[in-house]
Amino acid sequence: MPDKKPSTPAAPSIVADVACTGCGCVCDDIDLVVESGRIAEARRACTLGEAWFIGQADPSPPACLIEGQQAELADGIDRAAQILASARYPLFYGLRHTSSEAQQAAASLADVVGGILDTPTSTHHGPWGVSFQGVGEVTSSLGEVANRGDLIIFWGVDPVVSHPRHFERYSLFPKGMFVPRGRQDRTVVVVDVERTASADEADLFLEVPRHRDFEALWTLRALAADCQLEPQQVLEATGRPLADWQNLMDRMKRARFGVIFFGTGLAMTEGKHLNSEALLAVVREMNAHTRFVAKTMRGPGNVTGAENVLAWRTGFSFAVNLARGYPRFNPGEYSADDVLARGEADAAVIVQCDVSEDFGDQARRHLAAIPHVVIDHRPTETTRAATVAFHTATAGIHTGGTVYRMDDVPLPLRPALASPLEGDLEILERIEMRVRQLQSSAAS
Amino acid sequence: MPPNYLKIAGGTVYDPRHGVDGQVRDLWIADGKIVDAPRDSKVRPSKTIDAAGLVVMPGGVDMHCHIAGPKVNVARKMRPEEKRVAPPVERTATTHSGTMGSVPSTFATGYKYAGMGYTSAFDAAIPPLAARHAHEEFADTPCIDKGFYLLVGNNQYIMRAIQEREPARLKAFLGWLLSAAGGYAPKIVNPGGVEVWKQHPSGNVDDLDTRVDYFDVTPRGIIRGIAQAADELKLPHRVHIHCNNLGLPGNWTTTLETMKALEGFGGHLTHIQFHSYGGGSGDEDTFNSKVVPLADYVNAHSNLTVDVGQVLFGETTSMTGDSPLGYYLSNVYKTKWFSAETEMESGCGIAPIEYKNKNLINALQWAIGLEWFLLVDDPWRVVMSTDHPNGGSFLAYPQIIRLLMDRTWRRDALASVHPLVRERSTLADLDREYSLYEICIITRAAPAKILGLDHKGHLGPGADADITIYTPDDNPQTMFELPRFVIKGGQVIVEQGELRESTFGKTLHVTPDYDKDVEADIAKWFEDYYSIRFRNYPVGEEYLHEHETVPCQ
Amino acid sequence: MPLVLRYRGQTSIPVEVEGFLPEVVRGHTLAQIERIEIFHGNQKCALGDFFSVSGSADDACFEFEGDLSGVHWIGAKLAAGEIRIEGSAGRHVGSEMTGGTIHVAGDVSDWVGGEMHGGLIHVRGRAGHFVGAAYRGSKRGMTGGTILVHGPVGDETGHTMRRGLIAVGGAGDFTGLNMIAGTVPVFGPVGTRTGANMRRGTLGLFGEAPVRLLPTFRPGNCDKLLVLQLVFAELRRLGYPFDESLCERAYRMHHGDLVTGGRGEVLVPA
Repeated sequence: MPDKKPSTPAAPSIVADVACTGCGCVCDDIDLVVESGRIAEARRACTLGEAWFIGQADPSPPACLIEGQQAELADGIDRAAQILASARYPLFYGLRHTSSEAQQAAASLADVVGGILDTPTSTHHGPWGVSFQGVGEVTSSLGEVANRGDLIIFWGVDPVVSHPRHFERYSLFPKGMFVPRGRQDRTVVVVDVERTASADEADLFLEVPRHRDFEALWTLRALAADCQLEPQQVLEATGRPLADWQNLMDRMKRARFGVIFFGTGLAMTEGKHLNSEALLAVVREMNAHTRFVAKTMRGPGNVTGAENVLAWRTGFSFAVNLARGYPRFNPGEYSADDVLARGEADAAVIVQCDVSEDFGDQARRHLAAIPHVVIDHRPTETTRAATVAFHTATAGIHTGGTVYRMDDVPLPLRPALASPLEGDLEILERIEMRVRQLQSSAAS
Repeated sequence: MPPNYLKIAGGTVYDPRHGVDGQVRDLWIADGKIVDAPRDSKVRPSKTIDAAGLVVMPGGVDMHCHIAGPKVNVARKMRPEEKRVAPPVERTATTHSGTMGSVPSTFATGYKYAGMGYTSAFDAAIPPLAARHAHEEFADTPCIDKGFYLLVGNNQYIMRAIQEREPARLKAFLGWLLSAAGGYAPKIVNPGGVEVWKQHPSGNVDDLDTRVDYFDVTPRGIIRGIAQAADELKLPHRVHIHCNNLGLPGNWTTTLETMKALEGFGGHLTHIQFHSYGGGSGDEDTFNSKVVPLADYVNAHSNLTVDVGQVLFGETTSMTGDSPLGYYLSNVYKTKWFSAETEMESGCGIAPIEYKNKNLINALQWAIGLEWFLLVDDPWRVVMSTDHPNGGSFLAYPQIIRLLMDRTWRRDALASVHPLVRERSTLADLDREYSLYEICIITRAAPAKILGLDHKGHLGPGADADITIYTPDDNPQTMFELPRFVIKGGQVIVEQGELRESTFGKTLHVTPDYDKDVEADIAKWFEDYYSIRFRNYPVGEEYLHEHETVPCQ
Repeated sequence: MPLVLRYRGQTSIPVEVEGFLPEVVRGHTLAQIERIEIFHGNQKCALGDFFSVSGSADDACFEFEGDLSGVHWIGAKLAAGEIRIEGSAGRHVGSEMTGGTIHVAGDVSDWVGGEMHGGLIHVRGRAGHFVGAAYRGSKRGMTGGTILVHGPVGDETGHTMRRGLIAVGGAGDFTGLNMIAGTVPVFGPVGTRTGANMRRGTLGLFGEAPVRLLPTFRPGNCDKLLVLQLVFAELRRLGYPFDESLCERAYRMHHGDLVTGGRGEVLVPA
């Protein structure tokens, strides 16, 4: 919606301060060098950012395929609308690599047809969403961490690999207002099931056996409240001596502004949402002693935006069921993977998301068996198998809009290239318009 | 070609801005505005609403609510339990579905405001860093015009400018910030206290002269500095103040000091009910009302206006830019708690709460709100609000109207709450009853005037044709709950509570003149401390959709 | 005479019968009942589209026949009367019910008795996750009534339970999570993190395998406990099968969860 598509200049030009959606960091300081209609260089980008900006395929695939055959866009729109207008339990999933404006269009369409609406929050961070509804969350924007954080804990996340500029921009190295010497003013702790690249950067690494995160966090919670624990019980439960946890708790209480960043290594292991609930509870209780915040580390794309869009439009941030004409919420019951795996959905729309990473075998098998529409900026196995596939311009490369960083900070996308393809926003709006026509002619 | 006229014929009109108190008049509307009746008596309107026997008022203006942005959205996400059991808002051919609870979804918010005859609403607490988010939600909040206030009372750039005694830089920054974020007014929330909270465990300021570490400023200095800057920028709504020590026993002295700290500059003290408590500091047993001395001060100082922040009994969600308050409430109620600090700017606290009529503190809060309505002499300086959803939902306004218009009903209500309220507040002694004319002032004319909205809150030529038509009823609650017609920008959008048309609604914002030289310094500040680029901070015009710049004068 | 509802549905799309309750249709004719609106996915349908209806609605008794595992919300908000399900049933069976009785011959899916307030649910087969649990974000789960499940159940049984009895033949992880009060005897194997965050209430873990509790539970006295005798007597009265020799055993009481005050009790055969 916002920025107009620029015409591609012949001479090299620089598009400055571009936000990168290669990971949840959404670094917005990238300078793109554009040469002959291509991004030749992504200055300041990390490896993930380079892959995102420079690894973009040429926008040359056919705009629309129906059952694998090249088709007119209008025919594809019509077919997609026919599928949705006759579906009784259509599933909408994805919304990862797109703008919040397109997410709004998808949510609108799901409302109009009475579908299930879900995003990778469910498959990757749903546990966080649920646990937050249990205990709440004490958190902050990343700049607060950069300016104040003096104890930085990473739990079940390896940012060196998954969020390569996190240390540089937000958590370890920034020289902030209250931590003027940067890294020197900070203590860094990594808790994980094995030594990671990030652990090598830490002052303290605590290895915890697989699937013992909950016990470890529970031990910390007890120590925060000065509960007396039995060392043998703690050792058996956490695989580490009580003294190690007491040492960590002492550091936590001494911190002026502590932070725990946690990732899917915590949230998707045994215990799931209750692991993150335990973590959020520990952090909450630390505020009786000092200042402490928690932050979940989001993956690539605009999953945080999707959560926000769904929340403001429906009241719920993921796993929303609109079938009865109004929103209902129940993760597990209305999560995409479950809805498919149980064979409930009779049609699906997948928007800007590679579901091979997100769905289990059973869900993928059911998806293949029902009519489904795929809207993606690149040809994938999913688009090739789709009943109707639309190839679109890429949000953040060819089209503008809004992206939300992992800490909910909204940033503008600055398109650097032109694309002959439509954006997903336009495709979704056209499908909705056609569905409404079909609905009103059926009603009359 | 003559315009397409809409005529509202023969209604009993209330237009306090023009002194019209229940006189039968015709209103003519063209191009979304109220216009003079055409001189040529042969001109016929293309549509006429027969308002004979009906009450015609300007559309309601809510000058303090929480309806958009990160804090509101987090509250939605955090409270599926109340949405699950609330009556659903079903999709229709012209409207989107949504959910209610204490924090409705965006579409539902727009529909419900319009359904109640309110046509403008202002969100009171947006962190400038999240302004883009608030605008995105506004674009999905139909039917009403809207704007928001920007949290500035703990902004570190502002505190630094005050510390370094550079009022010109503060003024320029404030002008830049309002323009960059598409905001409407500066909002001060617990000045200095949120910064102390960020620095210290359970931190807060005690009074107006507590020094804030690192910046070496005081709440008094922050209030004074921003009020002066707002005055010099000639902002239509100068400064909107949530005082320090909200909710704490004995906080009335802080509130009085805040009024004094303005030193004659214009200022609006919001949800004043929460700031009018006597009693020993931290001692809930001595908790009592101090509305009388505070209202006396307000009555005697014309630079001050207030909105009430009325409490209603029941469950709701507390949400505030006052982080230490959120922590306090979550500990009092032992509930889930959300807190988020926004770098360089602000904080946020959210917790579910419940007001019980048999609880002395809650009952006193209820009574103190009503005292404020009844003890401020000039209705142009006291405005209806529940601080939605903090004191209760905006949907409770008709109930409050009844409490103000019907003293018998009010006495019955008082009899049903904790008995000590009669001793610790003056409510039992107050016989005043509001007239319809006065209700019209505190729900539309006054808030529009206090906000500097020349084209709202009245029915004179040039005003936006935002009009609500009610069927009179002996029970004012019934009357105000279910308008006969609601007209927004000249379009009939609601008939007898049913939404007919979902209009978009404008975003109202300001673009004050400021010294552009300040931008280099702000850019440097961003470079040093913010986690985003300076260039990515200002909100582009594409986010404002249909919008209107309200002039500074 | 019960109202007999034979399920004829052949759909994998969820069928939802929320609000279809004995006291609601008491006195209705069969034709009226067939026209009652239910949901099939996003479509409103008539009950008669999916069920053959016979018998009478006069006695506030429903008898469901067939495989109802794709039918959800059976008996949700039930206040009085009886529902008998001859086969298996879907999600939310008896959720938020305040009175009456639901018997299920087969299995039930998740959320059976979610936020239940009163009455009895008796399941002869197995149950899914969230038996008697709080819905997302709620401050209270089950506040009264009885849920009996002969077979094993899934995770988070009795989540944030405030009062009542849930007896199960085995349980997954986080049984009794956040429990405020109430009683949950488990007559079979139990998963991990039992009783996490419990404030009060009683969990009985009667399986064969040794139980490992969180380090925030502290072992206490060993005794024959009167409270258990009362629970066993109640279960016997309700026809819930269990090993009678348990009545003679001594039990060790573990106190927890220390992170939330430690006033809950977990009883394990000594």
